[in-house]
Amino acid sequence: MAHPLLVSHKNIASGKIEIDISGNLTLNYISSIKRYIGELSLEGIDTVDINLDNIDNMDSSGAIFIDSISAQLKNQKINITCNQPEIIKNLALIHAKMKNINTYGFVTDKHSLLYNVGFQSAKAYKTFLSFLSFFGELNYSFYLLLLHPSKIRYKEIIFEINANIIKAFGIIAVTSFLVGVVVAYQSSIQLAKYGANVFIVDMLGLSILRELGPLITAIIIAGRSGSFFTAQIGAMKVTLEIDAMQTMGFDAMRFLVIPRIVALVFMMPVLIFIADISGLFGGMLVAKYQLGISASFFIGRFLEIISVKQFLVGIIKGPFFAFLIASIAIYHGLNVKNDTQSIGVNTTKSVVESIFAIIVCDAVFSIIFTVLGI
Amino acid sequence: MDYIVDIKDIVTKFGTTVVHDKISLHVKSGEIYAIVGPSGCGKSTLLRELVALHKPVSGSINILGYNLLNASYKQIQELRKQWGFLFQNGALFSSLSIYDNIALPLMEYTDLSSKFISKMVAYKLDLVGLKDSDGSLFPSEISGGMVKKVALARALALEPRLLFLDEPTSGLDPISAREFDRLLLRLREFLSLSVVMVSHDLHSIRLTADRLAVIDDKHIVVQGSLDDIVNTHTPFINAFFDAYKDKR
Ligand SMILES: Nc1ncnc2c1ncn2[C@@H]1O[C@H](COP(=O)(O)OP(=O)(O)OP(=O)(O)O)[C@@H](O)[C@H]1O
Ligand SMILES: [Mg+2]
Repeated sequence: MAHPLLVSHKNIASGKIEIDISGNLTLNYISSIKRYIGELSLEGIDTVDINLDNIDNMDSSGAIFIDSISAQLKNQKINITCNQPEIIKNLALIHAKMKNINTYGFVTDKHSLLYNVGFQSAKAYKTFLSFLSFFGELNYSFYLLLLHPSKIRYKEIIFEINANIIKAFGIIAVTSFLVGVVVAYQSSIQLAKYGANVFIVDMLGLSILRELGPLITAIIIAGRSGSFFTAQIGAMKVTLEIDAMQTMGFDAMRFLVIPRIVALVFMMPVLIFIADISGLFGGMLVAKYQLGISASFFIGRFLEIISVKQFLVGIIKGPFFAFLIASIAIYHGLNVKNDTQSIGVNTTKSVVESIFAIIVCDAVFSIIFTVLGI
Repeated sequence: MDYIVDIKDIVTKFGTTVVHDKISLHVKSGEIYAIVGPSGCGKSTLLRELVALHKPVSGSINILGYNLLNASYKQIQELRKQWGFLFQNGALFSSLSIYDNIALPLMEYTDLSSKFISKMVAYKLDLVGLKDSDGSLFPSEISGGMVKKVALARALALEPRLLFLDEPTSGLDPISAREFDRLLLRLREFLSLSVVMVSHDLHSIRLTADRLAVIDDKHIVVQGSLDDIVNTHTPFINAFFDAYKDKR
């Protein structure tokens, strides 16, 4: 049964050749027969007879090939002969079908640069509008929940606090400890040159409490919880879970969005506090071994120089950062289309955009604090 | 031995749960073979084993002349081009358009020109009753019934000799379901396909299946023509084929 394809040709009269195809006219052999015909020298030939008498097997790709053979032999008259009624019937069937099929629908349109610029701008504008609308809806749901506090999903909030805050304690503590060590080590060398060893306390106190603690925390949470929220909610969109919830009257805002935002916003200061403590601890260790400043001296000077205000300046940023991270992540999660690709795209966007937003927000805070003289 | 599928004494377990306990059946070349049974009896699992997605604990599976459980990677790759599989929920590639879903195997496995491939895709779309303009849509943009049709077109892309269908007509309206049955019969005639399908659709089974097997309680209860089946009496068969008996 498994005859490979055999093609041969002979000149049967002047200007006339016969191509004889036998064996399996199936998908695997089509390109080789195309090649065979492409290599024929067709100079002065105006008629091609194609003989299919000895075909064992023909599948639909074979039939389509025979049907479209005139595309390859443009300048010749083609006669197809076959003594097998079955094959002739199939060829006729394919021919009738293919006549009504055009393949132009598949051509993707190309657009001019101007069109693309306009299209992308309109898209960006629409994204902005849809984020605003999400933001509005979110605030409205908050407002409704404040009117009916019994409807708040406390259980979910607790669950999210455990998953996103408590389980992040370790990584935040370790990262800030290491940052504290690095910053202290780098500056201790410079400070020692000027004999200004004690100022390590001022430097670490200000930089960690005001900037490094909050920023490190926010960036880790953006990577950790931000990507988690987007991928999780996105997968729920793909599996139609969110639609199912909606049909059962479970409001996505109340069940999914607000618990996550509330958990992050309220607990972010705790994480920043942990980051502050471990960063300062790392700095203190370096101060002791590098600059010979004892722990008791470090703490004494710290209490004297660094006011509570500095700590609060860092802590107050927490809820804002948390809100940005959670709302951007959830917005992108809800934006996932019904396919797996868009989970990846939206998760990337979510993390990148929330880190960017955190840094912009931090800059705005710096300006405000400077203007207020804090 | 001209069975296109021949399985013997298949035992399947998930953990300690036994799903199949020594299942044997065989499908002749050119036959449409249906597998029926209550939900959860392991029909999908059996199909997955036939296409090497899941390995049974013991037994032997012979497909298209290969011993599947001892086959080398290369042999299985070879087999994979000779069978098509229609998943219960379509399992279309969600990041590719309908057109690309069907064209992908052709682009990967043949060196045909893209022009010829587009002709073949158009033909396959037409065959399953879709318009060629549907080709530019994405899986998320089409209805459940269309997903089934596209999945069938994709399963047929490489001109397989053997087609596995997991509940092909579930989720289709009765008219589309009957169209699907006729399509299956036409395909068998035209492409000399053999078909193994899992189905809960009695109409479809009556119209298309040459023989069938009933799996219940880990075993093949009976295997044979529809008449053989209805003359066997188990609670499942009685309940399932009641409608058929009434109509005779
Ligand atoms: N990956 C898995 N892990 C554990 N158990 C499984 C797994 N896949 C299937 N099962 C179990 O095997 C049994 C058979 O499942 P299968 O999907 O084959 O059923 P089915 O006959 O196709 O049912 P349906 O008609 O509902 O599609 C079920 O009891 C299921 O719980
Ligand atoms: Mg199943």
